[in-house]
Amino acid sequence: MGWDPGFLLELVGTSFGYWWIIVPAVVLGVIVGAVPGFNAQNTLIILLPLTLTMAVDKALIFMTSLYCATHLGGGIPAILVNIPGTGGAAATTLDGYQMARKGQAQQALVLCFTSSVFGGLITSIATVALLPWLAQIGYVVRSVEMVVVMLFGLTLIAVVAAQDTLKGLIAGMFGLLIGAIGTDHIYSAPRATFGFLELLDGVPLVPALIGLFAISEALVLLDEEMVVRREAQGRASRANWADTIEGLKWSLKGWWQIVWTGFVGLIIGIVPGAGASIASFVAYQQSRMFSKTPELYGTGHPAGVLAPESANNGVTSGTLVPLMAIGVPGGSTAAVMMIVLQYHGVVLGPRLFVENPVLAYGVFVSMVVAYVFMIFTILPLARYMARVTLVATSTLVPIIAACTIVGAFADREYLFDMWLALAFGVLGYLARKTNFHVTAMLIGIIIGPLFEQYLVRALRLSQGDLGVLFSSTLGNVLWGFLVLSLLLPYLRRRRGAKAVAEESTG
Amino acid sequence: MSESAPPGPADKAALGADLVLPALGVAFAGYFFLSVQDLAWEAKATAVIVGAALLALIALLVARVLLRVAAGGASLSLAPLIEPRRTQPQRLAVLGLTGLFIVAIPWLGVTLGLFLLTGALMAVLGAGSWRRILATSGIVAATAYLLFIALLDSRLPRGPIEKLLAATF
Repeated sequence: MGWDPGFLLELVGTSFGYWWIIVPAVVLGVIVGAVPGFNAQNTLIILLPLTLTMAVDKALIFMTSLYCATHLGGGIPAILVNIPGTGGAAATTLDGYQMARKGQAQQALVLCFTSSVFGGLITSIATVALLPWLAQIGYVVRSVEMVVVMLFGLTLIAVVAAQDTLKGLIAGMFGLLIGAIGTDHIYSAPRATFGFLELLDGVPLVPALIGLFAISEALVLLDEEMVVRREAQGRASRANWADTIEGLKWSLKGWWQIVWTGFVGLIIGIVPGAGASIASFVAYQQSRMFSKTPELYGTGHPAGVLAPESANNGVTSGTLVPLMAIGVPGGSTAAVMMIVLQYHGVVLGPRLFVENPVLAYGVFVSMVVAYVFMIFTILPLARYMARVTLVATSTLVPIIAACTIVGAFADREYLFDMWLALAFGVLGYLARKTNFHVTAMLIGIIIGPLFEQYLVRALRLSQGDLGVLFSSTLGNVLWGFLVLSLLLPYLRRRRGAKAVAEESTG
Repeated sequence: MSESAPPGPADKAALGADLVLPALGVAFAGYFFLSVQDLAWEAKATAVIVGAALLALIALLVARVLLRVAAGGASLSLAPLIEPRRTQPQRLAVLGLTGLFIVAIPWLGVTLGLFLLTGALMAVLGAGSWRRILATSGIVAATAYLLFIALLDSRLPRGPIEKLLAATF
């Protein structure tokens, strides 16, 4: 089906008519996105009895609205208490939490909401227009390129997030090794499971996320009176609607940043497995690289919130592209959606756009409508949410510990996972106190199983020859970028030191 | 202090703490190598490649720390991990009480368990009056019940409160 504005406008009108499905899905999505441990995937699994009984178009609208809203919700605790609700919001902690510490939590939340909504909105519209071409990207990237993409992503995180690149790389590699725990993909032989049956499937991500971010943050917060620094407490307690307006102005000023980082998210989202956690870091790093004030990143810079949040939401439409266009889910949430669609007898793939264009394009149009509803639902709440940063740690720490440890149970429903979260909490505390960035470790754990899958696939094709990792043009270009990303900060620091030395002698 | 004077113990960077996580990394990589030594190459490829890279990076860090210590600019103190000492008992209490909660949750259920955990933690951390502690614990427990049990119907352990509410409504 070609580009037909009339047809698409009709779809937009129809989607607005489903406001009674979209609004509850958005509210639920924002809540579960903000609770570490819950995400779109496990919520949709829990709600399968509901979505399977709904008509297919309504079920799809409900699922996509909830999915988009969870990506936005994940940024809320990332800003307020340095705990990303989802892996995709991990990069938001870098500047969002620093803004909260400076008494600018409200502005940071507004930046998060506007960039999420407009990043998601723009990329959803672009997806509708460019769907047939975008679907081709998934074919270009093979196992060799995926190995390099993942190492590149991990390196970027180490370079960007950690104050010390060497420590960042150690944390990332440690995470990657932890991610390899469990049975291997070919022979199902158990490796490094410490004798626990619960680890045969690998390290579950939710307890790792909760431990590394929430429990460790609770332990670190005990040294503080409250999230906001003492000198900024007066400003934070006087926060009012003017702060929301200020956040909107900053968002408007960074509109171009929102647009292009949203597209970074869209393209990375199309590659199966890459996901929001890598996309948001790549966007953050790119934003810092092209900034005139890169030194402000990590200190509470508005652009450091805009870039990862826009990319994080650009991913939402990206992951659905391979699902709808070639029938391959781009992520775990898309896989759950596929189950519901297949239950209703929908055959996914190129023919869907010919046989059922209302459903195929309707997914992305309903995303557009969900984002429109989202901005009006969530923006006025920023002022009240920001008050969390003024709660005393003697109250906040118990709430974080109690609520998140329960979240560790939610994904697999094993009590063992609560113990695992506690163990990761201690590991995260050690990492935070000694400046080994926990984000690099978490991303290592997230991509560990996929990294192994692609690495072993590439090595099997080459009969164990490691040279295969340097056999593709695209892969070699990415290797080049990886080396550059490691060298550039070092060269920049050296040039800066040289300039300072020349100034002092001159 | 004159510019040429060597740094005193208080001025030195405490880098001993920097070696704690790498030590855990070395131990884990060693255990991983042992666990895959008899497996086919496909099953140990990741462990060997990633583990070797991890050990190489750790070796670089250890060398960097030792060079700074040898130059007199740093010490092997664990200060970043043990300071400030006044909050260490609270930290241990948070870990201990959370562990106790996990042990007891099959009998207490999620609602009563969360109520007791939140209340105990707030009391230990000195969160204020009993009224405030009871109110906050009650809100946390009620929210968890509504979200996890009533709305999402998750399989979190049910205890006396959940059974009572199920029988009532």
